Amino acid sequence: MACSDEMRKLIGRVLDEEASISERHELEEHIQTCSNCREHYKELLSTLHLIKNIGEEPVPEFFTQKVMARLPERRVSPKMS
Amino acid sequence: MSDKVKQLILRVRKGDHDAFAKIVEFYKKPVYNICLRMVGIPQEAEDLAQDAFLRAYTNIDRYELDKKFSTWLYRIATNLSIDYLRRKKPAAYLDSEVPGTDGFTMYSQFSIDEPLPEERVVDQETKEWVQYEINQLPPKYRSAIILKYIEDLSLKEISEILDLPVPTVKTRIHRGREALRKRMKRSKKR
Repeated sequence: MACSDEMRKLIGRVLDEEASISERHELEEHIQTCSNCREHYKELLSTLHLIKNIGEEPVPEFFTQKVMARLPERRVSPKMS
Repeated sequence: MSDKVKQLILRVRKGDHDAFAKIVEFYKKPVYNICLRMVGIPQEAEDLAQDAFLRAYTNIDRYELDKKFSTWLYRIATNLSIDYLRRKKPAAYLDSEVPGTDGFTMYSQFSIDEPLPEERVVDQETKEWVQYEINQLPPKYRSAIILKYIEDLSLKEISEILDLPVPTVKTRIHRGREALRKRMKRSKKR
């Protein structure tokens, strides 16, 4: 059966890196005996691992030029030359 | 904010286009990637990212110099992406059956048990799969997850970008990652 909300919250705190050392130990001990929470924790870890590793895609070519070509004229005094 | 960016902004306010081009160069990667992860379609993301810079340019006088520029800029990009998602028809929900099929769901496309192909291919496929799963999140969770785990921003920055209190941001991150866990478990990639 599912564990208490408290244990889910603890998993959340560990993932958010907000848990104290003793809280981390508490979770580690718990998941050694509770397969439900162990699975839940492992699944969250691998989900986050995948999300974090999706990486950044390169920006399409000529992006800056395209933005610059679309700039409206600003109503400011012309720069001094 | 760095003095360099501040100087550039002051120059933009005086009408200096070159200074703005430098700002675009400097921030185009995170802005484009925020839009890309939010909407999942490269062409749309490029348009949105361009629009975000244009909006920043036309509103540059409203930007408060003592605040972090990237926060202001990412907020524009995130809001434009959310508006885009609201405007377009809601995507087919994962659990719903694909019309004209018999019990076939979007999940089943991602649960093929087959041996691992070459690593490079897996990478691209994995990215596409993860993006696909992100696309299924409601926009409010999507933005929090992207800013937190892909852009690696602090809760405080995310709260300023989304204009929400930190506890609300945390709730959205928790719910978003829980929703992703459930989906990704079910669609369990290869």
